Amino acid sequence: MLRRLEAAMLKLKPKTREIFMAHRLDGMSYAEIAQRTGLSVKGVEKQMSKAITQIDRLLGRP
Amino acid sequence: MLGYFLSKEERLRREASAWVARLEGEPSPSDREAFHKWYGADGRNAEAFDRVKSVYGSAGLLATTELGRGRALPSSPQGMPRPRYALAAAVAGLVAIGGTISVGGLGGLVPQAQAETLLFATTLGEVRQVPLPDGSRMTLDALSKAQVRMGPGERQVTLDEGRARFALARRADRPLVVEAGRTRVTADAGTFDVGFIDGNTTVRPLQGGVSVRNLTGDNTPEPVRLSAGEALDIPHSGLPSRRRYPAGSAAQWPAGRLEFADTRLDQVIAEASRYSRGSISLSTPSLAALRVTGTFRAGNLPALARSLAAAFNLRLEQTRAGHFVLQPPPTSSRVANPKK
Repeated sequence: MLRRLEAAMLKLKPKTREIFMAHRLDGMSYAEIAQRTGLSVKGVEKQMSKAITQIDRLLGRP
Repeated sequence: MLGYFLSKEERLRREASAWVARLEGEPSPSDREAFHKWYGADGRNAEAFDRVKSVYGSAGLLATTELGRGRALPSSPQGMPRPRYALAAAVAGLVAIGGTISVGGLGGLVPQAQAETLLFATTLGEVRQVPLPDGSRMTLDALSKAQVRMGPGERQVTLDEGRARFALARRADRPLVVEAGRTRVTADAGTFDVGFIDGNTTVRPLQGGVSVRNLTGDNTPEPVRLSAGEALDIPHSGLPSRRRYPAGSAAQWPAGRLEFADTRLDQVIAEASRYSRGSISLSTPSLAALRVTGTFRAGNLPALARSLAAAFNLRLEQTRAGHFVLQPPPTSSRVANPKK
């Protein structure tokens, strides 16, 4: 499980990965992340969506 | 937006992920309405969403992994571990700074495959975690450049500029070699920092020991053995010097905290400038020799300037946005205690 989680993370671009972890692990809001990264809030949401998709690819059992 | 060439399964996965991501943000009432409509429209939508949501929940386990612990986007202040710098608190003139780290641009890291060499570079304020192929971990400080060569018979990093921390994988079967300038550092296990800034090299083991060799080999033919609590400074010109760190000194730069113990003011400013735009300059060179002890949050140069001014009773002038000058006070040069 952990290995697959890490594998999913490593498949992401570093930017996508850090944004995902900043929100999921640190509870940073999209607005905070947007401010720090210079992305729009929608852009952050898009990165989150990409990361979640990748995790489900490796961990979800459809 | 979603191409029809995607499999049904993949399309559902993306839709469900997009909804999870939307709801994780600040969805508007109409977003929620649209979501409920989508969720209720098809049992497969609901099934996919529930699965993705659950998988997303389990991703919290990343916090227990090396990768998760090494995450580089700064956490919110309440999520940060409390600083533990007993040494700093004991010293008059302590400067403690709140605020947050600003990471300038996340996209600065550019790994480029070049035969078996990977090149890494970080920008201003960017501290980057680099998992190495052998399971070791390199944390690259702001404004740093490194080349990583990993192969069957080789495990070598060349630090071209900046600073890096190396946490070696336990299972490593051969030593990691780090070269910086004319210095070669070799370690089998543990954690250590190597700095190579303006031609001056610093080696600092944090856990376990390292062996340091002068590549030019002129005056130190035998490798120097360093253990945790010691550091070796190899200046651009001049002789290497070994120093000891106070117990408990933790070298928390990867977490965005810069610690100084009896460090010259000009060095403090140079270090802090790696993480922020703007500048702090000194109106007279004699100020450079003031000694600073304390812990600072990286990335907040204005707060640093204000705290230094308060700690040393200096006048602070902002010449233009983000650029500060510290000047001696017009009358007394008495050192004042910083105000909270």
